[in-house]
Amino acid sequence: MKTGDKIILIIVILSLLVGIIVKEIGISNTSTKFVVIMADGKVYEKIPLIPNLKPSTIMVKSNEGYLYVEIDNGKVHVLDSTCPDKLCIKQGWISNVGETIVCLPNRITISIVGGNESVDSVSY
Amino acid sequence: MSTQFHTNSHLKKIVYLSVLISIGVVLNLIEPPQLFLPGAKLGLANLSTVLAILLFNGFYGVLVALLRTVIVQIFRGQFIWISFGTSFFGGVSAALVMAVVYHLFKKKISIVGVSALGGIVNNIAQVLFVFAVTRNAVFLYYLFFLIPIGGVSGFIIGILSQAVYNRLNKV
Repeated sequence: MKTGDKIILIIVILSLLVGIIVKEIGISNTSTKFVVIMADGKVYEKIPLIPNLKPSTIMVKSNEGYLYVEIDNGKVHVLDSTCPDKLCIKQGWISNVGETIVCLPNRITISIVGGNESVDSVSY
Repeated sequence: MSTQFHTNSHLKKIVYLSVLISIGVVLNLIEPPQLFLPGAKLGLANLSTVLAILLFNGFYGVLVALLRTVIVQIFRGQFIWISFGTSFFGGVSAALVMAVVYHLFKKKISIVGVSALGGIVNNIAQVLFVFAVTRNAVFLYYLFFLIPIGGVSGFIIGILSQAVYNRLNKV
């Protein structure tokens, strides 16, 4: 192992540590979860994620296409989408803070952020 | 640049490059789209970029990455500029950084290290591109996990390319 290799190894370990720390802080500061849906780079909708709520389906439209998001019992998934690769549907349910469903062809993201009233810099 | 090469070696170069590009295209097409994190791939196609840098020089590495991403997009049959942008920026910037680092610090870094760096740069470029498109800052936080993933996949690619390179040298 040469000097350059060691530097890269250190970068990898450091970023992993920072990531874990940031994640832990993000979760511990969370009292409520929100589903943030963004389309075309703008916030489309922000919905609090509360368990034991009736399932609901939202249609999200962007300039490129649209998709259906289903929220059920503290979980979110994409029901159907107009995108060609359908990766957003295949990803399935997400429920934890920091998890994100991306539909790149439609330029739509569905992420779960933690938050009190003040939104922190990590999640937003 | 081309004039200084003997015709035979020039021909050999063209053949090698075409083979490398086609290997890259095929690897890109047969690879599973996601492993355990959305969008996290092994990036097997980067093997062809690394090999081009090792066998020839950085310029050819960038060329292979460039042509490979364009051809893959043609093969996929549908042009989605965002998907193309992610793979294009990821592949080309990784090739650029690998080429520069390999030529400047050849004695201080191993092939595996160069490849790991390429994987990291690939992921950083892709995340930045996705962030530019979606404007969702969550992805910047993903960077901390995508850097190690890129490092690990680059490490695997590096070992593979080292093995291939050693065998090619015997030919």
